[in-house]
Amino acid sequence: MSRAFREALVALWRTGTVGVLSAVAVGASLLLVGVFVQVIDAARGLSASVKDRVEVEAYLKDRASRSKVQELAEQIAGLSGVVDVTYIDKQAASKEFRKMFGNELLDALSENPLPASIRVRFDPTGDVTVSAREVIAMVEGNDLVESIDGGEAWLSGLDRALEVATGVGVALGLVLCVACTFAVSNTSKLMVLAQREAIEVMRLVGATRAFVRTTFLIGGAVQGTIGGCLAALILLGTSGMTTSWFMVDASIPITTLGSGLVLLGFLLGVLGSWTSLNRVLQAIAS
Amino acid sequence: MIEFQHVWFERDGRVILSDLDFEVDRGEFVYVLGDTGSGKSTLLRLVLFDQQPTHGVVFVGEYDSATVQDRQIPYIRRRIGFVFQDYKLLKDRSVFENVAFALSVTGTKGSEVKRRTLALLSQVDLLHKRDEHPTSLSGGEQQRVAIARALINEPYVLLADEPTANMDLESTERVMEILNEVNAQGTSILMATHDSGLIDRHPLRTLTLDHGALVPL
Repeated sequence: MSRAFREALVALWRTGTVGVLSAVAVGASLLLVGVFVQVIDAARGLSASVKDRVEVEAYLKDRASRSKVQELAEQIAGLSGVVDVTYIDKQAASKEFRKMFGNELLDALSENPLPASIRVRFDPTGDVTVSAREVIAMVEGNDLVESIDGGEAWLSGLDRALEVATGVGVALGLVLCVACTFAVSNTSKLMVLAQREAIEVMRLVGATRAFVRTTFLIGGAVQGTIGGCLAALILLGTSGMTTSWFMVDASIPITTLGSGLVLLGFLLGVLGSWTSLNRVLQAIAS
Repeated sequence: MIEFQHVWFERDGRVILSDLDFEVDRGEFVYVLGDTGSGKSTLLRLVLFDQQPTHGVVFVGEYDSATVQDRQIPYIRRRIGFVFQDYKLLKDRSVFENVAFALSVTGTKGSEVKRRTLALLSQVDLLHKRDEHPTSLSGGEQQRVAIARALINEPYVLLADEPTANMDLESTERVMEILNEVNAQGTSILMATHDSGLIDRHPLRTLTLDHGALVPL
């Protein structure tokens, strides 16, 4: 085993530029996968952040009695996915408005024109749009309610955007994974083919099949691992930059992602060498 | 040592070797003479168990092609040296590394690999070129490296496939001198060649192949 390991390292070392370029190619492929995972993670973070901010506000008629409003608020609170129902009276609405737009506008008026409202927030881990639609359906047409903000059109838009983003993400992810597998596999094949003569000589001088296999599987594993390490180091080095680009904290720690890429490189390197070696051994034997 | 019992070999329905029946004794040096395509290389590969006969049996030492198992073949090959016409040297390795390679892949200790490699390079007069790469050597020198590699596992049979092809007379004679020395130490040699002039200069028992069949004496 140690002899096969040494022979594998010697063979890799001797491939020189080809070996370096192959490791870089593997690293580049794995880096793409890593960046993709980061983008998906950021998109999920952004989506959760948007969902966290989704709220439905039902503006109440001035004559709505406090007890009936309380009753409506309790009904809304009983709906699934609703985490917070707040009654905003006219004074609180005025205070909020002044905080946002200053005093001048309201001071110019003789009385406070802002209506009282019921503000509803949702559980961001659940299906926010469905919950919001249920709330809208409940308050729409209610005698106490004058108008509703956070309506159907906005929620449908959000729904569609999330569906498209998920679909594109899954498709892109599949394409990237397939491309990465091909890239690493073909790179390993290149390395095995570059050593074809050595494999033939090994066989003819009495190296066992296990020795030949072990040597090249170790070679593929080392190459894949080096590529994975390259990708992980680049991700680690640019993690500060990507966090500021994505504007959300990653839920997958960079060390976990890096380790995953190194493991993926190792596995793909072994897989690529295994398939390539089988072809070369068959070609030599025939 | 080597025995062919009514051996036939066919590839893609074409007969390459037909009804070969001969023996090579321990320590014997035998030529296989024939034109290109007469089946000389295939005959040698049958001895190496790199090919299986379509009919008949090939015996090499205590093994035979009918009963030999795949897992035994690498160990048999360690006792059969093979010299190729095109040398099959690894161009990215030095002369020393090319010879040592054949021993190191069999799991021999590093110090033993070094000792035997240096001894063999000395025997083929290439010790002074041990750090050079094959591309900087002449054809004759490359073939001497290939012979050293074939001998590193101390084989009891040496197979040589046109080892002197495309060589000048001086290089050819040096290679023959080395092969004769190896043979004198007890190693059986089966050497394929199309050079009848060489056989005239170094007359030994000769098996003549014509379109895959042995020509009767």
